[in-house]
Amino acid sequence: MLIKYSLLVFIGLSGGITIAGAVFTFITKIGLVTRLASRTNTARHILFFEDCVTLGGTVGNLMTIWRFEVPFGIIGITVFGLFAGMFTGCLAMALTEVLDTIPIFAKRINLRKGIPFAVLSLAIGKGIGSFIQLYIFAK
Amino acid sequence: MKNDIVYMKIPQNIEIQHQKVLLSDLAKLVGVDKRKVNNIGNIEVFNIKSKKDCKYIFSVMKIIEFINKSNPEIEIVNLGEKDFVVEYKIPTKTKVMFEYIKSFFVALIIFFGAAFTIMTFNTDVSVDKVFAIVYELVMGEAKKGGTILEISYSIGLPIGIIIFFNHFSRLKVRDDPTPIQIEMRLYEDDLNNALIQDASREGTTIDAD
Repeated sequence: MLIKYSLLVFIGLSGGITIAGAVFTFITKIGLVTRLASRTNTARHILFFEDCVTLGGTVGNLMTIWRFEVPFGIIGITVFGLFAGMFTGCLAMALTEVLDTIPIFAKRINLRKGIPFAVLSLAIGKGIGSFIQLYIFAK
Repeated sequence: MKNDIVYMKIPQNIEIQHQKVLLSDLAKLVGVDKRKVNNIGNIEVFNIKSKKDCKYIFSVMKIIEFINKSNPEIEIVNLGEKDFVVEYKIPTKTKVMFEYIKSFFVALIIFFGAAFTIMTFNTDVSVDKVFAIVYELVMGEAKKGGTILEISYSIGLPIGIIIFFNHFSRLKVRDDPTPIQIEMRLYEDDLNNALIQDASREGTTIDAD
């Protein structure tokens, strides 16, 4: 029994450590935290931001694995949705940027001016798209 | 002859808080003849007229031109950048409160974002199903509710993140810079390079005539 339990502990621990490595390499490499820190001129607090990644990752993990209740009501849901949405938006854009989607398209169709509009349309499109998919279709 | 050689090193990005820019503000100068080195250091390179924060892109050729004009006998050896960015920041009392609010805002995005990312990941790859399979394989019976496996996973995850980032709060595991600090430097390098290339393409680099 003890061997079985130790095996479970071993699998759980190493699984957790590896997943952490994978998921958070992704967040770091995509340059999301650096971008946010650079845009807001708060690069001094970067260690604090890294702590926030650690805390957020841990809390989110506990919530999905253990499904414990976080009774903050409508305000909690709004705050979570808003900030998680901003993060996902940054993540999606960082991804397009790493893959050079916009520069390649701009070059192919010879787009010189109006790239800000392209970005704005992208943002609005993503917003409307998620709203239709998650809010209207979910009903 | 050797007395006339001055070695000069200019970093890629220099922050300036006053309007009169001397060469010694930009460059590190080393030479045998200290008096000459001081002379060169006091050359006025630029007078910033801007009333707000701005960036100027310089070519080292302009600097060499200045030195040649005032001290023609001196031979300059440039060991630093060919092009560099001078960032003018108006000396103001940094609004500490505002900066903390911004940091707090970024922290919120990162906190909820990290939570959201790991939650979507756990759901996406069906960690619960995988755990059910692993539990059954190891224990020989179906899993009911939370087990030691979930506990270990929940401990392993923060350990992994802390190992990855190399620190938690003030508790540093090792002295290396963390991955995000490295990314930050790479990003700043990219930014400077982009500024320098843009300026050279648009011909706004402050260069020798």
